[in-house]
Amino acid sequence: MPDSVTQILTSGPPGLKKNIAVLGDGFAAGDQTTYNNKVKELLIDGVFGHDYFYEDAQAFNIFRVNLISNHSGVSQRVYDEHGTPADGSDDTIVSTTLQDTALGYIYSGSWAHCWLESGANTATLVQNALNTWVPDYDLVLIILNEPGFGGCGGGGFQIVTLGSSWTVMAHEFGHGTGGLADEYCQPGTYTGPEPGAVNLTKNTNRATLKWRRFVNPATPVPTGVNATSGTGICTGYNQGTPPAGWSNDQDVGLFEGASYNDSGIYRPVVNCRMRGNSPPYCPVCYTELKTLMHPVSGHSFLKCYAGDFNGDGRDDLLVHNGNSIMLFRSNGSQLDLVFSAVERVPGSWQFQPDDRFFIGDFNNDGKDEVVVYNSTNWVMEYLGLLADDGNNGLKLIARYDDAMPGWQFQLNDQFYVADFDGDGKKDLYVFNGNNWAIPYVGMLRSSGTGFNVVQRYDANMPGWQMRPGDRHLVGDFSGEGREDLWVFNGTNWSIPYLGMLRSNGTSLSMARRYDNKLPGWQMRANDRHYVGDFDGDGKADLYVFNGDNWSIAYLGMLRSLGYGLCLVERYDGNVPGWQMRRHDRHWLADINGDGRRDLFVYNFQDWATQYLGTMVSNGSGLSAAWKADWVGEWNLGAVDRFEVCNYEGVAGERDLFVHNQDWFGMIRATPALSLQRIYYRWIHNYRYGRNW
Amino acid sequence: MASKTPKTRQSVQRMKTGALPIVENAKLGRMGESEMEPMRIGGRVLLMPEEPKGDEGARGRMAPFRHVKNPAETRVPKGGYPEQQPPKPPRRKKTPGRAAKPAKEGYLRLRVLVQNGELSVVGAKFVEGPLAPMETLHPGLAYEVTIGARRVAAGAIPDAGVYRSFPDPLGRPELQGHHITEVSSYEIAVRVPAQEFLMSALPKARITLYRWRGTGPAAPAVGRSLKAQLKGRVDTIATLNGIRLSQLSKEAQTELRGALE
Repeated sequence: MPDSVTQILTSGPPGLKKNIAVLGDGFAAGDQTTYNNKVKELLIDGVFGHDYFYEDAQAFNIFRVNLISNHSGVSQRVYDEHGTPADGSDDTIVSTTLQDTALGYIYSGSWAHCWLESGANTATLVQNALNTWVPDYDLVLIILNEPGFGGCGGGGFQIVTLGSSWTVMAHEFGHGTGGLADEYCQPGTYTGPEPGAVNLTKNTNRATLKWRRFVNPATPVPTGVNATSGTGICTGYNQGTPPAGWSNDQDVGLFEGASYNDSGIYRPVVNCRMRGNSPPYCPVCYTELKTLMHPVSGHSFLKCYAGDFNGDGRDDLLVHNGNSIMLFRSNGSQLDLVFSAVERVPGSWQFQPDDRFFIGDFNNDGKDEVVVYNSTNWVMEYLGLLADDGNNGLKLIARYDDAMPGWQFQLNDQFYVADFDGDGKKDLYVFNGNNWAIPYVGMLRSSGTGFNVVQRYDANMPGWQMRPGDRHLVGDFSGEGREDLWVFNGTNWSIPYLGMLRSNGTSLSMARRYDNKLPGWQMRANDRHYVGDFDGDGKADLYVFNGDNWSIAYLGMLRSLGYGLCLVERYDGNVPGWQMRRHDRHWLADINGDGRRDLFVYNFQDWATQYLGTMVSNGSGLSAAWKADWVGEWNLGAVDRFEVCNYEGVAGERDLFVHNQDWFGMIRATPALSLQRIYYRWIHNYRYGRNW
Repeated sequence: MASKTPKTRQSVQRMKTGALPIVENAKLGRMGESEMEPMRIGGRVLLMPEEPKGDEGARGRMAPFRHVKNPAETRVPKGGYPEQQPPKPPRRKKTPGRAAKPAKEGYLRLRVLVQNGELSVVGAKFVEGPLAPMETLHPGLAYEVTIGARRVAAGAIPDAGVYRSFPDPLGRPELQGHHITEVSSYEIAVRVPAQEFLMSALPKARITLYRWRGTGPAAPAVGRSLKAQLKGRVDTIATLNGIRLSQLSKEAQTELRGALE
């Protein structure tokens, strides 16, 4: 069996990521499964399966190198420690038993000798292995085939035994990745200058404390004082009584004892990973790691999708970045990370930057699934269906490569999520007007575990000649429980057309086609349509807006009669409470939870400042309200993107996720537009303070 | 959040309740004032037929669609789905005669030994692919590579120069925490974009190792030297002025030559 390398975490090119090389020593050919399992246990399931490293896995590549040792197990050295295990200077070697291993490490089990040491050629052998198998590396993990406990870290290296735990390794990665200092305590008083490490200080002044932004004003500073220095203890909260709910690893104060001293130097929390190994990183250390690794991770909030992925009635958040996705669960007022996948999800779907996501309950289980389509990053088009993996994450349950029976995927396929057969499972309409000699519409019915093409229209639908510029909308205008297809074309014909095609579950029929005019509305090329039941009668109605083709902006409300439309209201220039402008953009919502579809409206281009508004329908008209420039702490801007959702889990759909490159906000519209939560660069709910 | 939105406004107007409609373009009409003339496309009026004819063509079409009464359930193939296939790299056109090899995008990873306040290159490797521009610095060691007065690379070096034994799992009081050994020599990794680090530039290349006494992460500006930017809080630990191949070990010479090729 020759030596080999396997990349077990693939986040991106080595020069853009932090690279971890994993080597094994003392693993013979027959031990390779043990080695592979240990790497998975310690690194993938351990370090990268928990808190910070799970969250920022996209900042790292991991290369597992399988080196075949001639002997199983590593060399051994026995020291006589002369009763002073903490002092290696008086130790003498009792025996050394050498094994023929790939890297020549020698295990001693002696703390004062770093538990292990290098053999005569170890440095060269390690260097050769790294040069041969790993393109670049920042951190190196070497696992010894030795059951005893031990580990030696430093200089970006960690050499550990099979008896080591991932928590100690995560602590070590805190040194190697974030330059974090130890928070261990030993007898001694610190007398040096202010330490550079972000998690150590000698400063006891709250006003200038380096981590003051995380300290609740109600927390005493210092919070833990060592009255008996020289005992080597790390102080706890001893300046008063900790408040109810106090967390020893997430509530920040100023605790005496750190960096191998028990007095004169302070740490941020009672027990961070940099002291106790097992607890997660404290807010100070976590923020340092996040700050350093954020550019490396490539994370942003540009591609966000809302969906209720656990079926609790509250919309969660899916964030897509390059080759990763993350799911954040809503508890009604904040988001928390529950799932992070880099490169692929089990199944498998391999994420790419141009993946397009479509959210809906495709199997009627009360939870949203994800359809993902990619037509540009691979040699062929791929469509996948991702569903709940039973553990807060997603897994692929169906994938179609290049085609499915009856439909050949193409670059510009456009998908629309709609339950066109009324079985409670969302289906897909798909349109392609560009990549073939004729346009196509397909009806892809969901079985819950995949899709079947039940109908395809080539060039024409009943009563409608398809053209490349057709624009589609979905909504049940007939009130029969099936989502129908609406189609508009304002550019390919001499006059604009709007078609309403009723679905019977397996095909479409033209219910009504409007040529040039809708009731009370002259259609124009730049009409924009929003299909939603604005009067709550169970039939999807039509909002239509035009800000380009007339001297003033118009907004029409056309009610569905089940077989056609009638004008309910037309606003010429103004909706009560809102002056319409050319670049108004709208999103359907149910802002007051009355079952009638309302509108969010946003304009960042036409006024001296930005306006975000609500237009609430009473069934026959709208009333508007707005906020200018700021919604709470959110400074509205041109780069903002909005996702209508229901993260609160209340009646209707009255919330917005607002996001741009670095910022993410949760806005609710009732009782008035207000910002409930704001996050910068990453989503983390600090118990006090924040990362900007 | 930023306290001011960048100014891209075209208007100084603010929305007013009860105001008259804003006229966006006075040259355009109002809805209902007149009938719209059908737009001419290619010189003629093109209207959608009531009952469009079926498609009769054959080229550029999907394969014919066949209705299936009971479509098969989607099944995951035995052994799972295959890997998704990346696109093939574009074929290079053959150019007549001897053409220069196109330069590969990449960077050099230099292994630099820090010993007794001196730096020496002990190994080098060319790594294909892009290199992240400038890292965020955090307190501690940092390196900088300059060619002449121009900074071409910089980076943080966390955790250099020490070895720590893991804490004793039995919790013996004297073996809590790490046993720390400071080492007198250690290696650091220095990454430089390949296009900045040509053979001819080696004598002018300068690698400097700093210790920055900051208290939190910083993102120094591109181009200017770290020392100039982090005034007074930076100590120079070691410097290598110019890289001379002949002064390197044989292995290092071979590696560096190979990397530069």
